[in-house]
Amino acid sequence: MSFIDPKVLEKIGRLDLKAKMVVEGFISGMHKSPFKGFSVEFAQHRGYVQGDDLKHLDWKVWGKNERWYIKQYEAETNLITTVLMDASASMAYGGSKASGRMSKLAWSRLAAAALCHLVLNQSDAVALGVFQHEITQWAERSTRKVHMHRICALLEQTKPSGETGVARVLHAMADRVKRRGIFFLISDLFEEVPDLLDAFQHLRHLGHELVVVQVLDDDEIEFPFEGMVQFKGLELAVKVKCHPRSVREAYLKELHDHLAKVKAACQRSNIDYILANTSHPVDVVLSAYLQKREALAGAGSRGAIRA
Amino acid sequence: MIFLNVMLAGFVVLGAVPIIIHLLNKQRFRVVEWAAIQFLLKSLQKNSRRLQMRDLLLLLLRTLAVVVAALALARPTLTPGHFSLLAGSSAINAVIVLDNSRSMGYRDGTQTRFQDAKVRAKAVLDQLPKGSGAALVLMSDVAQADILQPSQDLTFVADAIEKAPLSDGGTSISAGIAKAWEILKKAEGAREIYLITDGQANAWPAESDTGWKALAAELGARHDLRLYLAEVGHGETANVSLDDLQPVDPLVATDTDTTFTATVVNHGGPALDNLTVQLLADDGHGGELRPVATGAVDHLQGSSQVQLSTRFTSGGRHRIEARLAPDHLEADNHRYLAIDVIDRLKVLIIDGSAEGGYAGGAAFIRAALAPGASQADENAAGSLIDAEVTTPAALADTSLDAYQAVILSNVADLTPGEADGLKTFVAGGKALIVFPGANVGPEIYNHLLLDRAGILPAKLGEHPIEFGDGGGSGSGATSATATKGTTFATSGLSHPIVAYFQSKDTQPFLVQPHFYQAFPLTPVPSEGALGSASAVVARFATGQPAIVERGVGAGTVLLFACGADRQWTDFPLQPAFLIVVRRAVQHAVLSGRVPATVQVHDRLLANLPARDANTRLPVLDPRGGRTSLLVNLASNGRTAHAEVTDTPFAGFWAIGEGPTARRFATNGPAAESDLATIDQRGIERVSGPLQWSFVGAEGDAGAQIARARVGREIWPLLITLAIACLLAESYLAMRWTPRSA
Repeated sequence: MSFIDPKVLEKIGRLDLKAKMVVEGFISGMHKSPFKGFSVEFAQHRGYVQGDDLKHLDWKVWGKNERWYIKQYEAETNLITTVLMDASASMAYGGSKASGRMSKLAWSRLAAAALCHLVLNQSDAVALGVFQHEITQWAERSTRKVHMHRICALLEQTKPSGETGVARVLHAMADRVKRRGIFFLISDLFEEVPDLLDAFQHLRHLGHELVVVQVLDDDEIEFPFEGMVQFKGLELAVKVKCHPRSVREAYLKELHDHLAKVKAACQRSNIDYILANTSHPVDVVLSAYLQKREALAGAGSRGAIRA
Repeated sequence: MIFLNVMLAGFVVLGAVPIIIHLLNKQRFRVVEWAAIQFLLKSLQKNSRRLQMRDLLLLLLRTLAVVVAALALARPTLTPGHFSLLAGSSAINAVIVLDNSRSMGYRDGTQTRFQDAKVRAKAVLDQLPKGSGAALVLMSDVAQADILQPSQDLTFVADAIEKAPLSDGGTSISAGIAKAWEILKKAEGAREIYLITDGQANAWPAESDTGWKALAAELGARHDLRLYLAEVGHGETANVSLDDLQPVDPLVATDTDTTFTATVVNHGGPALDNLTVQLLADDGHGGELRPVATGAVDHLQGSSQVQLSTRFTSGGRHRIEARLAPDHLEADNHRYLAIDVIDRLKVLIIDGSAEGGYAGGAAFIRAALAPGASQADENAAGSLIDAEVTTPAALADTSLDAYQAVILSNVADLTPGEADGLKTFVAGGKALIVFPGANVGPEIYNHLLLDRAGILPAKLGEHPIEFGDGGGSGSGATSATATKGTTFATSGLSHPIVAYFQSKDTQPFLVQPHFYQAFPLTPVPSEGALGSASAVVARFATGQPAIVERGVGAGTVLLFACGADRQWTDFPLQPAFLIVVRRAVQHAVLSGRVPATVQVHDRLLANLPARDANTRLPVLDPRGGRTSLLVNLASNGRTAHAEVTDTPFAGFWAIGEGPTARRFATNGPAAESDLATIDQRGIERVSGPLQWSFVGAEGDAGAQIARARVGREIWPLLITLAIACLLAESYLAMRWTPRSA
């Protein structure tokens, strides 16, 4: 398995190419799909009408009775994947320019595209939801390869803004997606853990599988600031002036408490949990998760994976 | 608390630097748009109070370190009485001995040393601990306690210092210290003496001074007594003074040229040229002084004398002043005299010879006193002395009040009443001159005038002694034929009567008279009820006393060993007789008078008629001050006297007002003009066991005294505190603020 240099990946402008390279980088080493197989079942015939695609003509019926019928199929897959990407204002953080790191949103965008590409490659249906306080952009599920273009276009148009509402969105999606499937949630999860837990359990109750990718920046994990700093909230309209050295310990404790609670909530709900650092390449993170998932699938159990 | 380097205390403002840096740091920050703001908010909410307290504590430690370090630079000293736990002392009883001698009037620029001394004295008061008391002693050649015991009202003491006058006296350190100790001896607790002086060398007693040695030993043994010596002035010694002013002839008379000798002294400094000395005199009636003569010193190195002559037209007491051009020490450029100028004297001559005229000597005496007068004209015009001749028989009926002198010439017999009358006459300030002769019975004189009246200066021998064979005993032999006998001795001519013959020009006159017979005189050795011990005015060449003097009450008695006739001597025929008799009369008359020119701090005494007793007379001092005093009746009941007990200023004084005022002159000691100083080593040598803390003439006296005092400097404590603050700040900052994220 070979990973793509993030710097090389950064120079590639088109998201679909990036996603393809990311996926091809780690999928080549895998023997089979990490997800369950898909199938297409025949539903009925109907008469051809002008404008129908000729590829759907049932040539066997035309050969027998020279009538033109169109074959209709019930698109039923055993894996309906929904990728939910957080595009709230807090996802805009990407450290200083000197750090060269991607913003959380950019990293999430690439991760979402890669996942969609992976699913479509397996002829499974994938849907994409971009949310802030609620779903702001939505790409209906589809198995068609061309769906990838729409997904990428939608992701590239995404701009970070507004407050996040992960729990609210998850509840909405639980109501919206009736058929069981896999949900990929890519967010920094800066939200109250009890609300999140409630939403997770809502989805799990409906039989959905949920994979949570919590995206954080190095700065958020290390809090490496020096000197007097005024912190200006990206989502909350507050300003805090302090000496970071003096509050670092307390901040990290608060953060770690939060992460521990999120992780615990995921474990309690049997949810895969990935804590992703934007300084780590997307393919590395996804690869590690998928390999782990593959291994766990073989063993008959699943668990949270940390990249 | 006193700061020894008070200027450096200004660095305390640097304590604001950490605060300013803190505030500036709060203004200088960078803005970070932060996603995980809620965690930051939570951490701050939980820790904000603790963080604020930490910040405040660190800021406080930084500020305290700077402030304390700045205070340490200023060298704070805990004085006794303040912060007693640290300083370990209590209130002090202090005596400020303020030198107000004449040399303290030395003016350097606009300020005199005395003004500087007052400033220093107030600085001493300012640095006294709370609850302390202070007294003030003004020290010249006498020490006067201006405040008799330490007063805790230091404002009152400061006021007394401000009002303290500069005197014209000398300086006596021993008197000042003795007076200060007299005050402090009764005080309790810590005691301090502050001597503020200009460091004149001659103010200090000699090492061998027994009184000083005893005082130094007593004070040196007192461990609860501290002595401080604060100097003023800058050690200048250049000074020119008028050290003396005297008439060449102490007997000053009207209408004769009177010469005064002024002594000008250059005390150190370069030689001076063309110094002018001016002589001023009044009219004898209390009028203004006016210049009467001027003299000059061409080149002054050391001392020089200037002769200044004038002539008085009226008798009585005159005020004389000599002046030099002003210099830094103005007070010693003046010298004052109050002299009695003799105008006319009335003398009564009692002629004891039966023949009268020249036979009894009275005519010789009268001729000597009034040389221009004829026998017929008894009140000869132009003579200074009116001499009347009478007989012993007429003495009883004669009032002596009108006469200044009585001369007994060969009076054979006296009654006890006459002896008592003469005693009263002399005791009242008049003069008696006795010329014994062949008629005199020694036993009567010895009995009445010596044993009874106690006025005779010497005991007369029973028999006259003969000098050689030239003189017969009452034989009427003339001196013209005599070749032997004796003369006056030419040595020991210091008495004013014979001082005239000291010079080579006049001495031959004194050896011309020959004496063939004379009474042996035995001077009275001890003082009687009225009279003082006798003094020999002149001797014969054989050594026997020729003239003996004795002060009796306010008057004087002169006893000659030989008569004024020619029986025993040719003295009446010689020029010396005229001189000796005239000077004897003048001296006897004047010597009975109270001295009119005295030293500063000596008393002034005016003899007044008895009718003035119990009245108050004004006293005018040389600086225009006016007081009054009570006239007391004398013990004899016939006279009264007014006495000014202290005269701190040089110049002219007056007791009474108008024409009847008694005028006096006072002068400071000449030694006070010598400004040579003594150094610390010299003071320590003279002081023996006394330990002085020296306060230099420059700088803040209060701070120097505080430094000299066993106060505690606490800068090491403050430096330690500052270092402790810095260490604590560093430790806490490291503990609370991780170096790396």
